[in-house]
Amino acid sequence: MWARLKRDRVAVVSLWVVVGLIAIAILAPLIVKLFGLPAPDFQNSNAVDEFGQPTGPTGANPLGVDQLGRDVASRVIYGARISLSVALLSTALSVVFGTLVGVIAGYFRGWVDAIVSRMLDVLLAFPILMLGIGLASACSIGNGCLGGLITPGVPVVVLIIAIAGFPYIARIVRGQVLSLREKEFVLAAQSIGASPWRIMLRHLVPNLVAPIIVYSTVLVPQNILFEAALSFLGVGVQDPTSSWGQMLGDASKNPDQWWFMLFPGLALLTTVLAFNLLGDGLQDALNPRKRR
Amino acid sequence: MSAADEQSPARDAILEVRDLRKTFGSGGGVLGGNHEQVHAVNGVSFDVLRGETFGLVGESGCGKSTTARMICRLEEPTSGEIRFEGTDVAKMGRKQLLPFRRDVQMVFQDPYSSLNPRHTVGSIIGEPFIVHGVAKDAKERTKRVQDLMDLVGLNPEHYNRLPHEFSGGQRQRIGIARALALEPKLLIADEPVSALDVSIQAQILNLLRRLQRDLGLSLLFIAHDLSVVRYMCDRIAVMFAGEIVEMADSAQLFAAPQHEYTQRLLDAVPIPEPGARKRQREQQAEIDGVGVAAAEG
Repeated sequence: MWARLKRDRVAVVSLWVVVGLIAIAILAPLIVKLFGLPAPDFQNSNAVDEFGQPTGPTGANPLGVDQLGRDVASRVIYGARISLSVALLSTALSVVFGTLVGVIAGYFRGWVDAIVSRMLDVLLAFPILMLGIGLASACSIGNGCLGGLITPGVPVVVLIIAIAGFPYIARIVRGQVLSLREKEFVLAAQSIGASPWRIMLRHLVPNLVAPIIVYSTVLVPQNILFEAALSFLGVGVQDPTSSWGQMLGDASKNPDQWWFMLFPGLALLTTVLAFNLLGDGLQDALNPRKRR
Repeated sequence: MSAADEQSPARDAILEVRDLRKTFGSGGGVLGGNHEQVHAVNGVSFDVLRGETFGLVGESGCGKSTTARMICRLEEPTSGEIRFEGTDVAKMGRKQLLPFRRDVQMVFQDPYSSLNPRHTVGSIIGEPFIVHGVAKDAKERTKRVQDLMDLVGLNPEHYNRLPHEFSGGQRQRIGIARALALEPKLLIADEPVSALDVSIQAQILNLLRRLQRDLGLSLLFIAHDLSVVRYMCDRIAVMFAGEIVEMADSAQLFAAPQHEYTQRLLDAVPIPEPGARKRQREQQAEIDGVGVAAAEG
């Protein structure tokens, strides 16, 4: 798989971009300090002009400042943290839960499958952005929902995105399991006396790794965009934590200040594109029928 | 063969199958639908005696594999009875099922799909030990797995290899080793050589014969190839369209087939000698001619 991925130039470049982005996210405080930028939530009233409008790129603020006088460059760098951590966390949650549900439905078939599949259909039919807005508002009151387990801010966003993503994984896994369970090695495990749990975890899940990897790489950029959309609408990540979507949302109220919209937009575009192209490359590398 | 003969207590049967039936078909579903049903196995009865090799032959789709799977309780019979050492298999609870699984093991048809491609040979053969809590110590397990590999003619050093690194014949040996791990009393071999090259078939058949003799196994051997069954089995049942049409000792069946379907099956076996078939036909015509002449005279 690795050797075949290396032959795909676009995928290799995307991989480096993704690695770079992750490094930026992890090292954000260091990078900001290195370039002598102000902290992302430092409100410099001197950087705003006399009408209280944000100002463009200067020596001290290379990408300009927002309407509160916060440095755009610094906020974009910190925004990578939120974007990536929310996307990766919610994808991981979707994968774990979706795989569990899909394997159970596919292995037991019958009425278990019927109930699970209909519930997934209901979830898939939901206008998920509406659900997200509703959940976000409900969980943002007081101590959050689920007895304080899900607090407003990042945890709510992760939960919403995970709920939106897992039915797709569950469906794909269920389909794969339906075909896998007919293989004789599953019969062999049954005739040995292996329990259903053992068969599902030890025999089925290891054979699902390739399709799950492929689908997760498609899910990551989707989730980045979803987080941006929620934050853009003001129900996602809350101020003062910076997120690209939320910066775009703020910028849309000040359309004359181009720097304010351009840089978080570019960051979002690069990230989503890199993950998508990497996913494409992985899909080709893992698909044995597609040889170049 | 009479019913009394079949059920006489003098013969020590390890497995008794009585009037076994399996019907597949759309249950109709919520909307009714068509109630087409397929009688995959339609009233099959036979015994497997302790220590013998019992053959089940028939064309593909005649219900052989379904019968085998029902005996292993991988599929539920629609009706009928399966008794293993006197105990009804269908009525076993979870507690009895585990010892039953120890005693009855299966070798599968396709050595390419019967081994999990992600597991090493060691963990495939060692899995029965883990499931049944035998040889809990990892070192002891490795030792026993390697003994088994040696027993079936595999190099024990290949312990950590994956199935795709082996040939079809070697893979089938892995499958046999797995089935033998728990020292079963009854081994069910469901077309164990039909997916293999002819040159490899003999090796696997000889291995099964040797193991059967050395370990004192009872063997239920399923095949569609008559010459294979003839080589392996003491007694043979011929299945056609879900029913047993003839059951006899191996020698007897091949010498004097009673049922029309058995005769057709035997006729379909090629005779490895040029002109043999033609000679046979001429001899038959001669006998018929004499008969006619005698009748006329």
